[in-house]
Amino acid sequence: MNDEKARQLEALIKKLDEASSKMQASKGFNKATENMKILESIIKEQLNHEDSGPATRTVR
Amino acid sequence: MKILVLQLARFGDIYQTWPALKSLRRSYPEATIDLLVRDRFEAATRGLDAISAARVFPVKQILKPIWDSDDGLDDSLKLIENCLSELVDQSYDLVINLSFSPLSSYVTRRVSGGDPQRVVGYTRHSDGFFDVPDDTSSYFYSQVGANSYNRVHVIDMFAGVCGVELIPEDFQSEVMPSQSLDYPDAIVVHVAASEASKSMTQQSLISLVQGLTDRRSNPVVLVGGPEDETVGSSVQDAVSSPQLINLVGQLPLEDHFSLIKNSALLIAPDSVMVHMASLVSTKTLNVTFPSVNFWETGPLASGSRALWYRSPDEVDVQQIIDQATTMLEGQPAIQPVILREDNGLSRFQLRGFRLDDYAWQLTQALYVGAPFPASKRSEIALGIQRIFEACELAQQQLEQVRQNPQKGTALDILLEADEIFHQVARFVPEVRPLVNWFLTQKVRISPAELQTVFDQTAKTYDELALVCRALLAEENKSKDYFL
Repeated sequence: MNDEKARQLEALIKKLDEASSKMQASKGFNKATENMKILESIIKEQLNHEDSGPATRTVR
Repeated sequence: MKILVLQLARFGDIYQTWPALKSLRRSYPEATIDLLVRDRFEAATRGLDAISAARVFPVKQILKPIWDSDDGLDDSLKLIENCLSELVDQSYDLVINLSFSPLSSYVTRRVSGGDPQRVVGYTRHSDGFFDVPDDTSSYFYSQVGANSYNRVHVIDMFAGVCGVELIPEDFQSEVMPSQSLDYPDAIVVHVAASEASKSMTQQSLISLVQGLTDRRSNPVVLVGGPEDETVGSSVQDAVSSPQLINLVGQLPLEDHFSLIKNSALLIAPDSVMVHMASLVSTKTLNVTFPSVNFWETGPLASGSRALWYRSPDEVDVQQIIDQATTMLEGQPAIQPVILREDNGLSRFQLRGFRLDDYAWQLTQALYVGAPFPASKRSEIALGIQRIFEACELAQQQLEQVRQNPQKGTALDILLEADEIFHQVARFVPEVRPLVNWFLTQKVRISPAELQTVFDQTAKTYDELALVCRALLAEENKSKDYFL
């Protein structure tokens, strides 16, 4: 992954986080916010912010 | 009965899930047992006859719209919805999450419909907050990882989450190869793990293979994935021996089962091959580094051993060759060495290492009711004393909040107390099991009415105070460090 793509994905994580927080504040935790959090988690795994394996755990 | 097991981690984790799935099948012979894995790692489900079907979570497909275009977000979200809807339509009676990741916790919640009776493993509350309902997953959350003091193997934790017992047959897999792989008595060498920090250097690898071919008459078979082909070729070019067979990048993943099963010994770094060897009971010499915790992922076949090095640069190749020779000839191990021998909750015994057991004893006291240990070290005793003082401060503030719920200062001080716990754990790592245990107990408090949350929070601090008192009493018995 090149630096430019990594920057785009970082921006996307931020966008998803803001959008899901905003939606959750107005409509509660629903399918749409859940899907956003899932996509955010997938992108974070790609950027190695999170790992699914036992080595690291960053669940919050 | 329909069960979905989530294993959204990587190859090695999927293979380490096999014994629990085999045991689960024994418990539910008539059930539908599906396994959900990420598309990239689906190959690790081939040959697993304990499951009804392998289902795929299509990460690559989901990411494609946002890889390809700046406005692909909605398409990616639609693909997630489609995938989850298909899983929801299966109406699983039980969802077991063995992945321990944020992604898996959200997927688990959706597929289980948020019904706590249908979930084991990481999930989410109705407000999206992290939920870890079962004790084994809670232990994993608190105590597992590369820099942890945990000594319970991941395979045993997976079985614990599933609520099953493992038996020797769970480590005997028969996977038919797609081609003839007949190298009897071979020494199989895995040339690289998934990361450089888990692998031997190329020079060490060449010296190892050269040494093995010089000293032994066994065939030496190199294995690895397509991404390791350059390494395999370099070793082959450097070592000219008719005993050397380079299969790096040439075999489908599942064919390695047959190759390893028929071999005399596997020599491997912290890699998927170690876990495959455990599933076919092949003796393994694991070259391990601090980037993983060998207690959690070391080789499980009887007679296996591990050699621990601080870094790939510090590997002693002659030591590996000598140890491999003793294993092949049935001789006692050369120390220092990690032996595959059951040892209470762990699967290994250390020989020739000096190891402080305090943190592990503390962990066992917290989780399985073992006696509280005495450290006989002043810094640890002081660390516990500081935690106890911060805990007492927090209890006082909770009482203030009980009397006046609007009292913001008290809430701020409560947060400060948690920060003190973190700081003590940073300065005195041996007390980390205690701090992590306590903080996880707080995480496990479910969303509820304010009074209920308050009462449960107060209870967790009370429990911490009790544990601190017990630990300090043990310290007092041995020496008055802090009085």
